Amino acid sequence: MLKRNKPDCADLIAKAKLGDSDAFADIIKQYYGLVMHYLLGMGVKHSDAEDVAQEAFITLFRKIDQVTNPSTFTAWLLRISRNLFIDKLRKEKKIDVSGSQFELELLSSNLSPESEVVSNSEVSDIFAGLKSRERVILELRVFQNMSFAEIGEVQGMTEGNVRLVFHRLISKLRDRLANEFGKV
Amino acid sequence: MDEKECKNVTEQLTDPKNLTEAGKKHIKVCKKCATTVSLLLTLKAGPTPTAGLVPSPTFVNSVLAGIGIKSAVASSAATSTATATSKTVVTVAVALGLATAVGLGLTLGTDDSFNNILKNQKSESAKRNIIEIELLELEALKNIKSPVLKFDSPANETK
Ligand SMILES: [Zn+2]
Repeated sequence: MLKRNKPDCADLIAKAKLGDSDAFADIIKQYYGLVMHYLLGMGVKHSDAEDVAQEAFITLFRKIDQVTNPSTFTAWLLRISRNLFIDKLRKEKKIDVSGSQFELELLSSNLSPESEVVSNSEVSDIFAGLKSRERVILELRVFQNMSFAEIGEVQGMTEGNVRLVFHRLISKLRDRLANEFGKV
Repeated sequence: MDEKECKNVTEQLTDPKNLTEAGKKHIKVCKKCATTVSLLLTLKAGPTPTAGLVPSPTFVNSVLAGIGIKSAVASSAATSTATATSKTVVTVAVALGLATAVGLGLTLGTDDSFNNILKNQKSESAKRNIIEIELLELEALKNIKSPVLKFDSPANETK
C-alpha cells in the first residue's frame, strides 16, 4: 500500500493554532525523529536528548502563534532545541561559554556513543549506518528543501562543509542503491 | 562526466527551484546523475532518514500535558510513522526504471517530470507522479530487468 500518512506541515500548524490536540500530537510524531537525531548528532546522550526534545516541543507549542511562515518552522524548532541544550549545559556548567567564539563543534568533546551509532532498533534500510548528523543533513536538504546556508546555520557548520557532507552522502547512497540492484 | 557538473545537478535536483535546461540535458547523458534521480525518487517514496525514531506515548503525553492538554491521543504514537515507512517494490522498480531509461537516453515522458516529483514534498502527490511515470514509461520499462528490493519494510522499527 502506497499510503504515507504524513500530514502537511502548514496544515498542522494552522490546526495547532486553533488548539487542536491531534495536530499537536501529529507535529510531535512527525518531527520527533529529526529533533532527536539533531541532538544526538551534537553529542547529546539519548536520555538527555529526550528531555531537551520534550522541552523544545513545549516551548514551540507555547509560541505556535508566532509561526507565520511554515517553511521556517523546521529551522526554528531545531534552533529552539539547540538553545535549550546549550542552556542545559550552562546550568550544569559542562561548558565554558564565557568566550566570544562559542561553536557547537566544541560540544563534540562530550560525544555520546549514540551520535556515532544509530539506534539498534533500526532495521537494515537504505539509511543504515548513517550517523545522526548525516541523517539530519540529508533530511533537511532532500525532504525539507533547505538551502545549504540554512542547514549550516542550524548545524553550526559552514555552508561548504554541509555541501561536502551532503555530496559524500549522496555518493554513498547512490553506490548503495546501485549495489542493491546489482547494476545501474 | 565532469564531477562538478554532476554535483551541480544533484544540488538542483534537491532544490525547490526547477532544474535548468542544461541540467536536464546533462541527466540524459550522464549515468551517474540518472542514478541520482533514481535515488532521490526512492528516498522520497519512503520514510525520511530520521523516521526510525518514534516518540513513546509517554513522551507525547508529557509534551501535551506541558501545554495544558490532557489527552489520550498518544496511545498509538508510532502508528503514523510505521505507516509512513512502508515502501513498495513497484515504486522503487519504477524509480530505477526511470533512471535507467534516462541513462539510456530514452524518452522521459513529460518534460518537467523530474521537477514535479522531486520538488514535491507531499508524498501522495509524489506517488501519483511516480505512478504517472510508470504509465508513461511502460514501453521503456518492458526491456528493463526489475530489481529485487532488499530493503525491509521498516514497520518493525517501531517498538
Ligand atoms: Zn552527471
